[in-house]
Amino acid sequence: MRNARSITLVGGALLATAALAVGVVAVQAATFGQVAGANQDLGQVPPPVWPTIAPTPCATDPCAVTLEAGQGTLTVADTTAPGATAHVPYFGFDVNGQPGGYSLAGGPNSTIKVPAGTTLTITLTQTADVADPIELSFPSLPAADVSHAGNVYTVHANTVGTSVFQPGSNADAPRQVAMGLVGVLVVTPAACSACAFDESQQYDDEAIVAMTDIDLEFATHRTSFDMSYFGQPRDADDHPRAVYHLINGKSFPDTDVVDVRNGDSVLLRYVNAGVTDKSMGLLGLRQTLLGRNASAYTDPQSLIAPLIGPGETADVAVAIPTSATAGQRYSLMDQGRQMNHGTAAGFGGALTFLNVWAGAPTTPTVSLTPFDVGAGTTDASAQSSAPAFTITGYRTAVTSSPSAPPTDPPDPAWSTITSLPTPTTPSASFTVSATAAGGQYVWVQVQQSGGTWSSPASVEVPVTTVAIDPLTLTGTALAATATATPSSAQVAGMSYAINDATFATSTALTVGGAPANSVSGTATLPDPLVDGDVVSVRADSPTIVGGHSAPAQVTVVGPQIDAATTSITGDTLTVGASSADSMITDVYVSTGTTAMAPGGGISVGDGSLPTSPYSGTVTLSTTFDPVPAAGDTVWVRVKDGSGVWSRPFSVTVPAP
Amino acid sequence: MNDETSRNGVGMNGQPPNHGRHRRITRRVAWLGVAGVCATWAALVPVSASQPATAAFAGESEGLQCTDGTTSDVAGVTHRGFDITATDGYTSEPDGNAIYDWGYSNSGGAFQLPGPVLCAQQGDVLEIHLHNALPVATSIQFPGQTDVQYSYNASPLAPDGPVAGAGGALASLVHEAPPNGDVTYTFAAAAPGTYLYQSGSDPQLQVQMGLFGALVVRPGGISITADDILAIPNDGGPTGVRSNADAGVTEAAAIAAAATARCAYPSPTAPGKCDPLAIYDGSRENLLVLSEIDPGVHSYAEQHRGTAADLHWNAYPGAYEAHYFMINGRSMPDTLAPNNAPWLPSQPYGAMAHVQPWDALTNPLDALLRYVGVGVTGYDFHPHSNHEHVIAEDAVLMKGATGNDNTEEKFNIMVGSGSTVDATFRWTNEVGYSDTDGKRVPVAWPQGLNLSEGDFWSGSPYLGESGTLNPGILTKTQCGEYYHVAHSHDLTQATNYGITFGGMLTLIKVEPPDEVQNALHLDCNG
Repeated sequence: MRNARSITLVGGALLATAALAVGVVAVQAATFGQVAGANQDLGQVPPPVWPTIAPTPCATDPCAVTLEAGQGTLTVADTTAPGATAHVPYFGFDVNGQPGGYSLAGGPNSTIKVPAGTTLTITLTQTADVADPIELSFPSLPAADVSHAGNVYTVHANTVGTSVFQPGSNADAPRQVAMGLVGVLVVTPAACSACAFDESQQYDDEAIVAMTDIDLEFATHRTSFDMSYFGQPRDADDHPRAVYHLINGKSFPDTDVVDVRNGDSVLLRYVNAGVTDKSMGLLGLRQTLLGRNASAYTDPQSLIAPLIGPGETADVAVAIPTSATAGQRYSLMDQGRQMNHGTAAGFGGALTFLNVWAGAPTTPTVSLTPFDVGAGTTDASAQSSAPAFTITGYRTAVTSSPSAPPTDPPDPAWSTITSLPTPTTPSASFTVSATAAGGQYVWVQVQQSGGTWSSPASVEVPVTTVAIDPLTLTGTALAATATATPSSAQVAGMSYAINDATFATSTALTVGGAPANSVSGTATLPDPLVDGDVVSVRADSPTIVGGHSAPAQVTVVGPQIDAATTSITGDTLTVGASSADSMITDVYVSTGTTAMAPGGGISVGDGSLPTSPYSGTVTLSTTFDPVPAAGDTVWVRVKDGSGVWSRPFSVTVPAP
Repeated sequence: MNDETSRNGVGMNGQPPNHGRHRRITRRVAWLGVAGVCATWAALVPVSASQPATAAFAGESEGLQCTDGTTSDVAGVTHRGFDITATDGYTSEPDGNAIYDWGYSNSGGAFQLPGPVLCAQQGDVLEIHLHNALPVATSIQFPGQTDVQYSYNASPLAPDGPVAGAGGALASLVHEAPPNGDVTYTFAAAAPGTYLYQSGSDPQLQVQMGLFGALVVRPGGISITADDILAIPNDGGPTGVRSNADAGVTEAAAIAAAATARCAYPSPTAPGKCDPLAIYDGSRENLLVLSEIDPGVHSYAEQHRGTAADLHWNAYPGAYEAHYFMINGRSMPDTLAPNNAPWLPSQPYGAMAHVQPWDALTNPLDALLRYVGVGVTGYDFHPHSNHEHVIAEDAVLMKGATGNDNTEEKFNIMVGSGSTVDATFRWTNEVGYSDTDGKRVPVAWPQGLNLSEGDFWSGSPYLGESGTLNPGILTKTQCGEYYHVAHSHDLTQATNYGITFGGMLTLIKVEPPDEVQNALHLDCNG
């Protein structure tokens, strides 16, 4: 029988690691490592994990953000450079100290994304590399929305759209920006985190496409460089100069592709953080220009290659045809062909692709697998996708049958909806909690923005069995090993009880290495321990039905009193006894109608203890109270060298 | 065959082709500033490195010159075929430099730069067959077109897209024709407008070398009536505020104009009708493909044309620096020469728009200029002293779905890389045709010796009149016409190898009305 009890999933939770992921933009290396035969089609690459532009966590109001400017080094494929690779210093931002360090515009760490109406408190720091103290500017925001006291900036994010922040009025700002020090501010409509400028402009996927021009000679001689040559393709002697054109901090073939699905609507947030015009063409698709510089157009215009000037941003919508096939790619590049010497075929620089994956779902999906159960933790990895941008909440349910999922509310099996603190992106992780017993089924359903629910996905909470073997008792030394099945299950501990099959009172064994699939434990059983006592041992684990395994038992073997050699003659009591450890350390005698408890009575002995087999005599003298008389019962109990008592033995005083 | 062409402009007197030219290595000479010497310069240019000089010039003309391709009916759908060969040849620059180029040409025709202007009707299925006569693989990409498919040797059509080469590295943005090989691209001309086509293979090198051209898709199912002519806005504002009818265009004038009117874009709100701002004079349709040349790149390709392995962008050891800036493959003053000028055998397209003054009774339609940007950067093209009315960008009429008018008057038109712009142009005669019209030029006329007279001055400020010029002054005017300069407003691009003026510069020729020409026995195209 399964005893339902409360269990805790992943520290109280079912961990939806790596993604109750909604379908958004993922990144992957745009190298064409797999070629499918003679038709020269590009091979498909491993499935994306659908990261996107992650919302900036705002645990406080105002939303506190740290922003650090520092120096990094990027590598650029360049067939003209030594080793075909150039190593280029750059300046970048790091928002909230994320792993990976400083990012150029569009890189993983240089974007702040919040809903409109958010007040940001940005604490700006910078490393010594950046030198001149930065006066931060937000060119697309009204002056009234930005203020600062020292290095702490208060920004009222009321301007919906894509804009930038960068060094502004400090003396070295131009060189700092030329080093790539530009961050991206994305402000979404307050009521819709998956919309461009208003709720009529919803999208499935989004990506920042930020272009940066990095001048190698300047980057390596920042303070002494003659800026009149910045970005120029040649020097005063007409020698070629290395100027790298990047998308999101990378140059083709290292650029990240934008993963989309057929049928998706995609929002591309262009940012020109470089020094030359960029005409961003998307071969095979049209682009609808929704707005520039965080300002929406009344009539969005369809374009082939929107022109984006230095410092400008442009938000465009792209419709991926439903007829697009998996693996199909659309080239996204600067039509000015500023592409560097990235590959032998002449492709480099500001070039990447929209990479199509099949099967855009009409509703979000969620799946949970595998379900990994252990003592105190239970893990499940969840994969989820959604045509809309965010997962806004979830609910859970527990049933006893895999074929009877809870129906839509008001089915009481469902928990109430838990809203996520901030709309969760496909790349985010979050935890959900459920209470279930082994053998039951936990169901999870996610909701995307707009209210659409995924189909429920379930996992069975596995039933765990435990074998306690070996189980040994040597004197009072108890030793046991518990091993759980399945191997993924874990044992948290063991306990024992003496002559108590119900474990009304139990004591834990000392267990090392728990929780683990197999653990060993020991205990020294307490005095008194009597021959014939039954010691029960069981394993403990939250994933075992009822929390404990079935007990295993061992019977105590103590010293034995020999009936053939134990007798009373006159006032002389002769005792014969033996023990497994060849020691009889104590002999106790009492008189009366009932046996004495272990340790009770009078300790007697003939001076030859400890020994076994034991044989000695005791004079039933006036020491005894009452003095035994004919017909009285005399009780004898012995104790062996390990401290285990014999059962009481009685003899009757014969008539004189 | 792809030798069908149509010309929308004004016919001119033909001249015999000039064959058997010889190449000269000289890189620069000073611009002499006389269009007449173009023939002398061009006479030094070989016709083609790979084709015999057997091209027959079909005659000179002005305005956009279409290659219409061949058509066939497939299940009620018009399939329009173009047969293109990528090959090499030479073009000439006004300073005498002979530039080795690659380009798209009509198969069987002479080498040309830019490629043929492919003209189609909306709804046509275009089948563009590319034969590659270059020593390296090449291709054609069609920015702005969707669902482009490709096939090799009649293989089943498959979606076009980037191609991996050996080792999986990106080889081309679209499927290629290998040297001496072929590929066919097929797509539906779904939307009207002006488009670019260019190489998708090593575009840094191949587009620079000249592998580009223009595609014009005309709207289908559109008829233009006299009422449409009368309803054309006449004040730059939305229809109905002040229309051609309000401006005095008569029914008879509208009927006459409708016969030559052409539509660039349909109305977003009135199915089957042309948008009033997109109606233009079909005989005044012009194309301006803006591009540039770094002669160092071209010289490198010329020197290495026998070694295919050297013909890629990475192999070029120099630093990119453009020295020639062109309209339709020509630099000023060659931009002024007519289509198919025999002294420019590889540069068939002129770039000088011919217009006549807007007139309610005789000329109530605007001219159309289609701009195509092929540069490594955007070009600020400046119709000097004039505004043009920009009606479309990237082949989309600048009106919202509800017809909101977002078109604009501009005196500086940014044509981005890979982008196109369509603009209408009109010229109005404010001072009449002589000082007896009651609209005298409001300045005292200086004595001749105090005048500095240019090549394009007729001697009279009045359109259709010519005056006495100072001794020794030659004029290129034919009929007392006006010329307005139009050029890149980056004046470094209005040069030929740094020599002012030249490059991306042309003129707009304002001719007196036909009736004035007839009355005065003038011939503005003679």
